[in-house]
Amino acid sequence: MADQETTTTTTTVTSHPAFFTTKTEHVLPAQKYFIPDSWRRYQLSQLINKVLSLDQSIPFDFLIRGEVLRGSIAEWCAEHGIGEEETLEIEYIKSLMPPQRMASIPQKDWISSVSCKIPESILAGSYDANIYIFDASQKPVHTISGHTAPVTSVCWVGGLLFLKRMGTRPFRVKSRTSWDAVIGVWNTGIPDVDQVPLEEVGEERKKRRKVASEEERPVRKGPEEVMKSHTNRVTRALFSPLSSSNNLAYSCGLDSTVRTWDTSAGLCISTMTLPERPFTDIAVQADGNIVVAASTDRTASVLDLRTSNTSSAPILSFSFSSLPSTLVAHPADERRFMSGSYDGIVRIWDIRSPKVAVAHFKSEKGGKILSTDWRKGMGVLGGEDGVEIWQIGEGGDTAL
Amino acid sequence: MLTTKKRKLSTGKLSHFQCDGVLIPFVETIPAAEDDSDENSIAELDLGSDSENEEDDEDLIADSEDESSNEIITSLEEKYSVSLQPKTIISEITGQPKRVYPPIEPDYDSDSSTEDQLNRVGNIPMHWYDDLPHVGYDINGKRILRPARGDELDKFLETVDQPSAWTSAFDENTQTEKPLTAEELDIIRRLRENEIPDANFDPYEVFITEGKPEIMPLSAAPEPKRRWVPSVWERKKVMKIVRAIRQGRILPSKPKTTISRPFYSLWDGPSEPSASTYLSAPKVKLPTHAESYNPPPEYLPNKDAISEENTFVPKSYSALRLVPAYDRFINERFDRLLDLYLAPRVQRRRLPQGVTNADDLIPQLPDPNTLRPFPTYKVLSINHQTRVRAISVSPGGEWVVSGDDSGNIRLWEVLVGRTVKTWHMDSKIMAIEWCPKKDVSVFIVGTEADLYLYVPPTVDQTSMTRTHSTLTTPVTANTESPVAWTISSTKSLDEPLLTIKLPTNSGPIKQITWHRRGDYFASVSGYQNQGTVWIHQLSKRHSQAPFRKMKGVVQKVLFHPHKSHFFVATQRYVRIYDLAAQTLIKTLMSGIRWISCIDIHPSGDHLIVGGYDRKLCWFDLELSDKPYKILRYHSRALRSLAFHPNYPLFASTSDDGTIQIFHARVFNDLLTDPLIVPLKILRGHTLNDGLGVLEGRWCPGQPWLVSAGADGLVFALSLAQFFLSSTFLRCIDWLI
Repeated sequence: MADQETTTTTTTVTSHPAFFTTKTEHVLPAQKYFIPDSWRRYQLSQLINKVLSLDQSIPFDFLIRGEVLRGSIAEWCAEHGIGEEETLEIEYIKSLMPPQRMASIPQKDWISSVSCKIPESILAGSYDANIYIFDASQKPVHTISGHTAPVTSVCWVGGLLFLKRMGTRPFRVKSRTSWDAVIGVWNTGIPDVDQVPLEEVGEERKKRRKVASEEERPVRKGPEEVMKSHTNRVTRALFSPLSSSNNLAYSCGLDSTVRTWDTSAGLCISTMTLPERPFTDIAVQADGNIVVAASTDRTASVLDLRTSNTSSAPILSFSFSSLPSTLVAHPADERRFMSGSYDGIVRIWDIRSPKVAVAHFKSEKGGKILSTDWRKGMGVLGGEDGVEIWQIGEGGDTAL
Repeated sequence: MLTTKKRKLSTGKLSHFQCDGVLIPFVETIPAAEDDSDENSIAELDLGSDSENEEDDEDLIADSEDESSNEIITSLEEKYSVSLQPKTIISEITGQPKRVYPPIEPDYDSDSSTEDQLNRVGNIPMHWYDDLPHVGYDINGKRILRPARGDELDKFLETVDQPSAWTSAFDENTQTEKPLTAEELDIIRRLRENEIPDANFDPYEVFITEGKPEIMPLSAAPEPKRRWVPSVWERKKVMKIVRAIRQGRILPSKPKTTISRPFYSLWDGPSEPSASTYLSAPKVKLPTHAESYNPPPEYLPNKDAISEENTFVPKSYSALRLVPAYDRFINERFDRLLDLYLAPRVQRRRLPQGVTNADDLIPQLPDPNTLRPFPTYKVLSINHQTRVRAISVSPGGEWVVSGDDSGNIRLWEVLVGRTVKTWHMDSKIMAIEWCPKKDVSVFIVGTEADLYLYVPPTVDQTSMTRTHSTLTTPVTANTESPVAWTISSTKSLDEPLLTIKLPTNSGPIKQITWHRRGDYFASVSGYQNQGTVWIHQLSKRHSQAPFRKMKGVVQKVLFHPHKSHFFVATQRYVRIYDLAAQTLIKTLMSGIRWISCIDIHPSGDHLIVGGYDRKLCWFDLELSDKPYKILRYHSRALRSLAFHPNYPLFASTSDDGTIQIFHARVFNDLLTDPLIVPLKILRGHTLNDGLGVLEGRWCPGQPWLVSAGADGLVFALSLAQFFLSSTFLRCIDWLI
């Protein structure tokens, strides 16, 4: 069948020999295909669907030498200077379906942080000093009001809910005191401290609250480690997503550095400096090798954690039209991450497609997006206009 | 009378003399003939006086009521030929004395129009008789002898003696002077005044025509339909032509071929200078000793050396009178004229030394891309509904306080833009300034009358208590001051913690500025034409006026970053005072007509002054009283200037709605001049009532700018941030 196609196509237009490989379950028979130059993603995807004669058509994206194909093959070849005779090795993956908005939960005040790491529930920290928990049907399950100041960051820890006030932006100076000095963020000139608890219960977090069992007074804890290295405000701190290196943490700040910490020793292991790029957020990819950092110069830089102690240029830069405020890595796919910016546009990026985002969508009212999170086909946005839930599926199956 | 006697009206010449721009018409009396006999002239005068007296007589007759008209006429007739003098007699009826005039005989001769004409030669040119002893013939064919004429002296005496002499005209017919009658004088007067000569002619006579009666031009008849309905026949004719054009039967007129006559530009070449630039003619070489008529012998050439034709050969003559005419005079004049004619009248412009092309004249400035970071784009905007005049950034660079004209004060976070707290006051917010002290968190709000100290809720407990203790611990009352400090009784953050009441009628606060240490601050207040400076001390809660009298209206004041100097900007000058020694150090002459804003470089050695006349002056305080550089780049008045505390940047905001960012690098060595590079023009604010961007402030520690605009309903406080060139690097293989 493929031979028939090639014979028909070679007569009319110039074509390229190509191999198709994939990691999905839809595997083509291993043979050489002759692909017309003018073909784009759509035609290639149709080809695979036809060859496999799938019942339900699945859109695919195509990677040539690690780059997502945008435009025709001829354009790609011209750009990379590849002759007609060279054999291309094309890998295909399932396309990301256009995201769809499922629900929006309007809030009175701005939502500073959202988390959906635990299934069937959404956690949202608000600037009105409350923390809201919604269930799958967007009904408010619980409201926790223990803070006196706006909550700027929340996250789940196991079955427990941890609320951290990262030196809480509104009350930054306050966070110099002992009870939340752990993750302090300070003014210029003063060495800053930060740490975010994520794994170990009872350590290195200022506040926590048990939700599952019973209502308790929130436990206030002093910091176990105070790690000072940043020279300006720290905007985000994360633990490594790898369970093997659970005492590794990463942080970024307005001093244009991304630092790696050893939490057990309380030491800064490595520092990566990009000159004049105050970072607003970082996301560590699932394999723990790559960190993406958004900065106020409207770029997101991809840094390799394995090359330590260098102030090298980033591997990649993604550009935004407005200030990117939040980044979140895909929980499983180490190449994907999601970003939210002040103009209300959420973009889903693939490291293999540096110029164009894989998908982008705008929040309902277009207000600032301050926080995003995603899990298994569901994306949650928090910002000026409240909480929004979007469905972000891949390759036709929504339950990613 | 004119028609019958045919007098020549040569006497009353009308002439206009222009004198100092005013037309003065007058009658010039010129005697036509010179030899006039005395007798004739007298007789003529008598005749002339006749008519005048007649009129007088008639007036008088009208007065005498009891005389019959017939009597008067007869008496006039009698007297007419003999004497015109009235006789005074006693009336028989009334017994009163009365004047009786000689009667006028109503016969043929009584009318002057039928007066017997002596000379009967007819209407012939009288100069035919010029060389004859007579001037014509009377009715009987006898010669009329030429009347004797007096000389010039007689004529003059005549004009002196007889007042009517200047109104007389020469009668050619009789070759005598004849006085003009009253009717003739009236005609002359009328002609002179551009009136109709005939006194009896009525130009406005009612003209009665016969035949067709006049019709009123305005008609009430209804307008005919053809006036507004398009003509059918016209349409048909046009359509016929249109059809013919479409079918190609009528060809549209050919395009007029313009005859391309070759024109040559005579003076083609480089652009000529304007005519106003005068170019002097090439100069002639001055003569030397060789050109002398007797040159020293060393100038005289040898016989052998004389070879060429057209060169001047010096020759020696013993005396100047022996020098012959110069044989090459014509040649040299001709050459000179050729020089003048063919000299290229183009001014040669010389470039400065070492300049080969025009690009070298542009100052060598570094590329703005190499001077990053600087603000390039708007990150967020805060809507204040009304004009925002005051804005201040916290010393840490995280918070911004902005105050608008409706009295709202808003505290918001720089990075996220969320408003944390708002306050409201009843007056316009004129100035806001955050205390630069790091341990005390307080900002001052200047309204139209007073100063208020607010404590932001963005501090922790220790800082709050320290602030409170600093501001509220009782102080020993020292010297009396007209400025009253009041501590708020409540601890609420909604109320100002301290209120500083300036003396009444001191006007709105124009400016607040802090000393670097955060203990002293100065305020300028006043209406349009006044400015009062107060220096307040926070720890002692005391205010004093440093200047008893101030020359000029104080616009802005400024503390030196590390010396005890104090800058006072009046309308035209910036004066530098030493506060410790209490002396005037320097007066800076800016050349700006009206100073609007000043700021000092963090190093303390450089001052920038901006004015409402769009100028910006950069002063090197160590160098001179005169500006080091004067820049004019905004199209409207400058509103504020700000140096960045850390980065080598300064920003200027203007009423043209733009913010301009400059790179301003100051070098440590005194030999290198400061480097000023324009970097970026930030737009986005819109104009409102002619006001643009009113304030611009930098965030300490970051190259971010916060600006406050006057733009109507949407008041964008734009936070501009820097931008790195977005180079997209290729994806590297090992990543996948």
